[in-house]
Amino acid sequence: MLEQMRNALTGLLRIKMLAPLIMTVALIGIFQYLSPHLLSARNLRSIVELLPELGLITIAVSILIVSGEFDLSVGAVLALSPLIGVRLMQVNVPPWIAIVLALGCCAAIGAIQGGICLRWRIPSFIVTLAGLMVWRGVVLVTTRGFPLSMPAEASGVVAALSQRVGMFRIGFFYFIAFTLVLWLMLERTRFGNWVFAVGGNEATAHIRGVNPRRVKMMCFVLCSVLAGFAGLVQASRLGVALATAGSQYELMAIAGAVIGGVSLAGGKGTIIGAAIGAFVIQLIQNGLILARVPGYWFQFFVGVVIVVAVVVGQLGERMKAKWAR
Amino acid sequence: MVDNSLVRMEGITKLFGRVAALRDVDFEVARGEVVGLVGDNGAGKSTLIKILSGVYPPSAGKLFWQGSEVRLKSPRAAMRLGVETIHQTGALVEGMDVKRNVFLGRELTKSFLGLRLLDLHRMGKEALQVVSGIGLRLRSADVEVSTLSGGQRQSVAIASAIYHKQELLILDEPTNNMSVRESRKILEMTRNLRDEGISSILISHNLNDVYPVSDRIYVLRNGKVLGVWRQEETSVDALCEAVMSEE
Repeated sequence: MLEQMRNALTGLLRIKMLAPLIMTVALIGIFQYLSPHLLSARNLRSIVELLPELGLITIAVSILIVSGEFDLSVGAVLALSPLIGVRLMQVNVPPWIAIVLALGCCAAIGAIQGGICLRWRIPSFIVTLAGLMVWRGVVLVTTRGFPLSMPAEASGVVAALSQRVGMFRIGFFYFIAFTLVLWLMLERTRFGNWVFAVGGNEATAHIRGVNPRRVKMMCFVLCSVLAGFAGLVQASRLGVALATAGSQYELMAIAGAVIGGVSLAGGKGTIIGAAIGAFVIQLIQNGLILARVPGYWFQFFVGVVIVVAVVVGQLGERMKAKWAR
Repeated sequence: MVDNSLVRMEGITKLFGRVAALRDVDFEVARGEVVGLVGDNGAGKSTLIKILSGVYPPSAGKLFWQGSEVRLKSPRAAMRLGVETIHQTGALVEGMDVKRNVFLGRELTKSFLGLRLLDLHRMGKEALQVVSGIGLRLRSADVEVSTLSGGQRQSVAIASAIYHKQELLILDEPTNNMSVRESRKILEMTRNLRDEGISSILISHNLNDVYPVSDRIYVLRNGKVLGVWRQEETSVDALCEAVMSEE
C-alpha cells in the first residue's frame, strides 16, 4: 500500500509541468475569488487574444534556454520582422513573398547572433543584448518611431495570421500548434535529446558524438524565426507594425519560461510548461485589472510569482530525488 | 609491432601551448587484446586516450586503424570507426535519465506517421537489460542520473559503451568510485569482451586492477612511454617500481 502510494507520488512528480500547473490553478482560484468575471467566456477570450504573441516568444526562448543559451533580442526581432515585411510590400513585393523574406531575415539574425556566440565563445547573453539594441535601433531609425500600416494588398496575409476562428483568433491556434510541435521535437526526437544533452553538459554531449555547435545554432535560428512570426501575428492583429512592439518581451519571455519550470542553467524544462508560464503572465495581467488593482502592480506580481514558481519547482525536484531511489 | 593490429599510434606528440603532454609516443593494440595503460597523475594517459577517441587532434604523429592511416576529426568520427570511450569524468549528462544517457547520440527511433520519433519504451527496456548485465539493479531506466551513486553512474557509463559493441573499448579509470565487488565485475567484463574479440584499453593508477586482466601493460611517465611489458613477464611490484622510478 505504502509502496503503491510512493509510486503514484513519484509518477505524479515526474510530470515535469506539475509546478506551473499548480500555480495556474492557484492563481485562477485567487483571481476568481477577487473577481467573478475571470472565468467568463468574454474574459477568457480577451486573455487568449493577447496570449499567442508572448506565448510564441516564450516557447522560442525556452528551447534556446534548454540548450544552454539566451536570446534577449526576441522583442526587437518581433518589431523588426513585420517592418521588413511591410517595407517589402511597399516596393511591390507580393505579400506572401514579403512575409517569407521577413522570416528569412529573422533566420539570418538568429544565425548571425548564434554564429558570433559560438565562433568566438562569447556568452549569448552579451551578444543578444547587443542584438536587442541593434535591431531595435534599426527599427527606430527606419521608422523614426512612427507606426507603419499594413498595406491593403496584404489583406490575405493579415487574414491568414489574425482572422477569427469561432471564439478565438487564429493566432491562438498557431500558438497551440507550435507548442505541440516543439514539445514533440524536444521530448520525442533525437534532436530534442541532443538539445537537453548540450544544455545539461556540453562537453559530455560532445564526447558522446553530438555536435553542440550545430545543435545550438539550430536553436538560435528557430528562436529568431518564431519571434519574427510572433511579430507578424501581432502586426496583423493590430493592422500596423509598431516601432515599440515587443518592448520588454525578452524579459517577460524569460519570466514565463522560469515560471513554466525551465532551468536557466540549461538542460531542463518543457515546452508545455513554458506555454503555461506565458499563460500565467497573461493571467496575472488580466486578473489584476479585473480585481481593480492599479496596473502598476503588474511587474510586482510577476516577480513574486517567479520566486514562488522556482521555490516550488526546487522542492518538487528534491522530493523526486528522495523518492526515486 | 603486434600481429593482427587493430590500432597503432606512431610518434604521437601533443602540445598544449608550450607544454608537451605527450612526446613521441608509440602505442598499439591488437584485436582481442586487453592493454593496460598505467602511470602517475599527469603522465599523459588521458591525453593519449583523448587523441585516440577523437577529442583532441595530435600535434604530430600518425594514427593507423587496421593498418590504414586515419585522421579523427571528432569523437563521432572515432565512434564510426569502432572506438568507444568511457572518459574519466563527464561520461553522462546528470540531468537526464538513464535510458536517454545510455543511448545519447545513438538514440533508438521508430516511425510514427512518417516522423522518426524516439522509441523510449525500447530504450528503457534495453538500457535496464544492459545495466543489469553488469550487475546494477535499477528500479527503472527513468531515474535521473544525478540521483545515482558514483559507482552506479560508472556502471551506467560502462553499460552504454558495451551496449554498442564496438571493436575497441577504452576505459579511463573505470573503477573510480566503485566498490570492490563492482570493480571486480567490470574487470571480469573486459575479459569476457576479449573472448568475443573486442579489444580494451584499461587506464588506471591502480596496478592491482590493471595487472590481472591485461595482456600487455604500457607505462607512461612525463608524456613518454617508459616501457611495455607482457603480463606474464612482469609483476605488480616490478610495474610499481617502473611507475615510481626517477628519470
